[in-house]
Amino acid sequence: MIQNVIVIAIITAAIIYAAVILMRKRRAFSVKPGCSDGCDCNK
Amino acid sequence: MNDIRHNAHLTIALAGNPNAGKTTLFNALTGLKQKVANYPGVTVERKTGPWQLNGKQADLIDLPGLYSLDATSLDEHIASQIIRGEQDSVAKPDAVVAVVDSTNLERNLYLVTQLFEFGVPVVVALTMIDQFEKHRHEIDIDMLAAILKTPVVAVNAKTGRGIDVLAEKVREVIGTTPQIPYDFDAGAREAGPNGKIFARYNFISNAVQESVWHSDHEKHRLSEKIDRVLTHRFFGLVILVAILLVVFQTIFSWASLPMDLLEQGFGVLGDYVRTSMPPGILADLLADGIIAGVGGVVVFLPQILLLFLFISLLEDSGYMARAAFLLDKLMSRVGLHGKAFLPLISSFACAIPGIMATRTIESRRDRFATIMIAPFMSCSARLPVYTLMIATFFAGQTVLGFISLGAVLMLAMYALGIIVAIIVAFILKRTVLKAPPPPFLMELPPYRLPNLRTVLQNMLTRAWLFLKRAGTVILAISIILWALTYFPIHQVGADTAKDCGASTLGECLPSEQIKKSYAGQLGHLIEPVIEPLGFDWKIGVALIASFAAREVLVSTLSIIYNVGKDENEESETLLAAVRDARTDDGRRAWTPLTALTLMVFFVLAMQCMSTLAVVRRETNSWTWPLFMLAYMTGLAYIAALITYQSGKALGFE
Repeated sequence: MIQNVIVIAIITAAIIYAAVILMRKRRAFSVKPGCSDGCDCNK
Repeated sequence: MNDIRHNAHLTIALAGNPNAGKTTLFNALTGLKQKVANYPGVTVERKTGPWQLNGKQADLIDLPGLYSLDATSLDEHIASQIIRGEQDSVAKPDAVVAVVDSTNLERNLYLVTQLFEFGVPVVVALTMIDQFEKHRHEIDIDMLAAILKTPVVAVNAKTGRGIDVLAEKVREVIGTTPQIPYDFDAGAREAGPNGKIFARYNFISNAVQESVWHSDHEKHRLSEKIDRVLTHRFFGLVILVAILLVVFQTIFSWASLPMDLLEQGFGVLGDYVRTSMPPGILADLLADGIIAGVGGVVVFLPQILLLFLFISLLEDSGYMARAAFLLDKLMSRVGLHGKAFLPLISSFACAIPGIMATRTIESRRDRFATIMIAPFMSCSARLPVYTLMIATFFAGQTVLGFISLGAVLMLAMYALGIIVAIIVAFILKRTVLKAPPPPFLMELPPYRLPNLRTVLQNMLTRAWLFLKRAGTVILAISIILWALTYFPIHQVGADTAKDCGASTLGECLPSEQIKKSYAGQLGHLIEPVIEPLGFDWKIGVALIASFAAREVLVSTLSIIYNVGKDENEESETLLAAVRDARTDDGRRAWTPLTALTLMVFFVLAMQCMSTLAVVRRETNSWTWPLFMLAYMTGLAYIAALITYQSGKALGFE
């Protein structure tokens, strides 16, 4: 039983971490306001 | 003409390469009274200041730092407009002071040869002369002035050397018609579109040879002789191939021992967890998920370290620039910008810095074309995949009796990426990104002994990044993938026990359980699509997982073969597990042909979310990353299909 709890906690932590990474990538995917052609927006 | 000018308000422009000492000279001439203003509609700064020209006041304009006046970039365009008198707010200059860094004469004089053609008198101001003379080099200023047919003055803004002479010479040339020292157009007529550039450099080379004496003349001559061989269109390529073969062969042979030790270490750790913990789900997660998944990738650390050792040595010695020069000839023929070579070379480590380095390319179309092909360069994340396949199926085999087949295959994978990139660039530059390539000349850095500290620092940085990735992203993905291969757990009844490989009631055999897991279901779903490539559903699951990051393929295979291992099967290394893996119908899942097909797929497929994110950011459009994902995946599938089917037709396995 305790093993199941630990495993579920580890899997949940991994999923949350992967989701955070995905969210960060999604932010990189999003259009930045005020950038018309994008080339210089992130310099 | 001269008299009229003497009574009018004078405008003098200061032009020169970036870091030639232009601003220092500007401040010395104007007494630091410059004002800063913006040109209309652009962000390029203009500085103007008063300059006392032997009693007569002039406006001194500091032009942006320029390498040429080809008008390909915004700075060059504005500078050309000012010299021609086409900028509304600025009077046409009466003379141009060309600031030339004497420690880098060849590059700096290129701009001077262009300034002559604007019909405005030019006076050359030689800066950094103290540094030049400190190295016991000598320059015959009169000879240089005679060759250039324009006054040349050595100046030192800090000591005031030559400042008065410069003012005097500028006063003298105002109102005169400048002489062009050489018919550069003749070169263009003879040698095609880039002929004028070559004519300029030939003229500069002769001028420098006539007027400059280098104390390290012999060293220069030796360097030139070496360059002639290393950048030769045939021998240069032969040497490049030979060097790369030696590099790859060394990587395989040197890395095999530490890699075996690491693999055994992770094996021992997995076994220790199994024996010291009570059997159950936690031991399964630790041994089959975390240790197998992360360990499967970490064992490739020695290869990564050696790859970056050699990349650093080649870069630091100056050879990489020669290799780039060889490829640049080829790239310019397909229409790629010369500045594309640096981003592409960076992409061999990782496509992300490579794509960001394309910002140096002025033309949007040239920049996008380079971004679109950068991921074809085999990055370090592909190395574990190539190494796993080569070590499993081609280790110990040789070509011509002494060249390792593994090294040849590795070289072939790198070459395939470059060739496909060139073909794709050729197509893009003639269709969606059609534009003429601007001319570009490359400066070759001097040869030098690699700096041990820089090399070690580069290796350690890369090793840290690799381990950090293994300990974070790969660890998280390994845990999730293990869960997908482990759940749902199938409890069987008497009627279904046979289907599940179980002789009694209880759980399925692991090899059967994994087929019914979420990952198994997903793998079976895509199996019809990947079957023509010779891949079974397990490889399919690893392929899907590797779209997050390429090296995840290795950890996924490690997890799948560990989780799917039945209890009576002995624990084995990943290499052995891949070699012995069977499909559902009992055939061998992997053959040398399957391994080669997978490598071809990995060379061409777009399997990196981070790269897509950077492309989205750099192009500010969804179109380009989606286009990249679609065309690269399509291309990878077709190339893998051709490899597998033609290999099969030829009787290979």
